[in-house]
Amino acid sequence: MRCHEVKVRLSAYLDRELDSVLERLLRDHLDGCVSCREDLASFQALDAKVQALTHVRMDAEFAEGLTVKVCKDFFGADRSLLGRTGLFGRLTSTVEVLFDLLEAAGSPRTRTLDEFADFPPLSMGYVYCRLLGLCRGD
Amino acid sequence: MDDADLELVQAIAGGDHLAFKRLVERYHGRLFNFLYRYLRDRQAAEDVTQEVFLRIYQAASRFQARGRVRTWVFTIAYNLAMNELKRRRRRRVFGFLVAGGRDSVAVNPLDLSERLELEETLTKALAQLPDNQRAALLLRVRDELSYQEIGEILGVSRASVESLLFRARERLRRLLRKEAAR
Repeated sequence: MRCHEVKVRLSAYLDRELDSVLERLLRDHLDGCVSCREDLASFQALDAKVQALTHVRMDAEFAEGLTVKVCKDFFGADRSLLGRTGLFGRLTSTVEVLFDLLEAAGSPRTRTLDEFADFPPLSMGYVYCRLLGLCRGD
Repeated sequence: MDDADLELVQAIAGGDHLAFKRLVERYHGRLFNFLYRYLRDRQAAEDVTQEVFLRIYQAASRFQARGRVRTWVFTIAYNLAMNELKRRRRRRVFGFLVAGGRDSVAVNPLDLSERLELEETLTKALAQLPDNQRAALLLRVRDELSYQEIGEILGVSRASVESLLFRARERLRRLLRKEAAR
């Protein structure tokens, strides 16, 4: 294998995601190539830095109440879209929803979540209104 | 872990609140960290984490056992986080609102300044990666997910995951070198 072929596979080699044949070819190349070994080492160092990023803790109170909040939301006792309240929040949400509805087919990369697969398409408008608390008398 | 997760999801589908509480305990830390690093905003990460669990609660009965619970949970998180980013971009376009403040994180006081500097530099560099590259890198390096799982979460092939990760690491390395040279 040549260096330029090896370099583009180094990331997958590091992640142990290559098949055994390719992995052996890369290992053989690395044994004799300082430049590719340095590249591999720099990827390893980079990963170590990303791994070392501080594990951020969720606010303890928020985490403690998460189950309760979700259950409360699920049963519709106090459903405000992602915690936004007030006139400004509602206005922002409404405009965003409008844009969501106007967006043609969306990005080709956007997929429908399985959990919405059995929703009739037009019911999504109703769901949005429920989220915004615009439905009355139900 | 997978079997235990599956049992929990099945119990949640049957209305078991205790099972839901266990699933929250098991995943909220990892999910929050992924979302925090991906969205770079504590408030948004908390909101989306809450929303993820709400969706899980709603959809537990429709979970298909052929998939992995972990992949399913992260797929919901990734999709909601992408929606949040889209929403933010729209807000920026209309000048509606300013995103939430950056967050300070708890660090080891022994090497405080060095760590803070590294955190800041790395966080800035990560923020400059395209969204899908940043997600792939975080899922691989921080959450140690396989290429197959990342592909399912991002909705791309395994080969695309390999390419995304290679480009993410290349770009991140370049950005950090550039920063170090200043």
